[in-house]
Amino acid sequence: MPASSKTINFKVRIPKKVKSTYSRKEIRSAVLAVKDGKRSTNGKAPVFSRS
Amino acid sequence: MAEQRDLRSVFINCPFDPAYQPLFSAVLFAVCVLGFEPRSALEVEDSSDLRLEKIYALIESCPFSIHDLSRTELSEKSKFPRFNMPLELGIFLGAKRFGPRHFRKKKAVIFAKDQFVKTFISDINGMDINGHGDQPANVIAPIRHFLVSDQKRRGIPASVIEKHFAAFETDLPSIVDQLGYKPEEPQYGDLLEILREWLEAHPVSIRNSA
Repeated sequence: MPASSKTINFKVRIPKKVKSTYSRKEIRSAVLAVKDGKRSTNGKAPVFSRS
Repeated sequence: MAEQRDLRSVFINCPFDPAYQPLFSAVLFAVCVLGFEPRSALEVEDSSDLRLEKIYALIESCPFSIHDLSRTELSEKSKFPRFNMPLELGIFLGAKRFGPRHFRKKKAVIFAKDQFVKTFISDINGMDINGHGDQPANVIAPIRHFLVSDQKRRGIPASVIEKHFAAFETDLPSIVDQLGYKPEEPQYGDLLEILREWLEAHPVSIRNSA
């Protein structure tokens, strides 16, 4: 049986109280830059602090 | 009267130390990719609130919860074990047992490093404990099955989630670097916002029989 693919993209929910230092636009821009192949050379895993 | 207004919120009761972060990221990723909302004590920054009150409120409002007892071990510094996670699991079990009738529907998935946890909390014998062996990929399938089993729609296969999570982990250092952060600077809110934007930029495709 031939197989096709379908896209599943559930709405991503994060708590309203949570704040980021950067705006969604800035973060989206960074995400898309990396998606387009712009990668850093250090590759060190980030450590997320508590607050 | 206690309420569970958001039917897709998931209380996450797990360690927040740096060594646990790869597992914590995997837990957050699995919850978010399936369209659920992760809730944890980390999101409340008002230090004038008692931490336990925050925990009560989160357990009260979340129909689902994820408990990881893997760090209930002796601290090298204090030589005492950390009991926060078992305590919060106990509060959850108490709420489910003695709370309003609709609290009986609250559901939980429990993780530990291995089955050894049952030797020091023998009262949980009979409950299913998922051993993850400190491997992030090992938390994804149990969380996926736990959350999807309660939904009327089909979810994303665990293998697909694992593949996407590996791609996210590969991209994360570069995204943080692009933002101008040093690796130790981002905060919990940054991780969630990066996760949201990454998932929106990388929709999940699954095979579909024609």
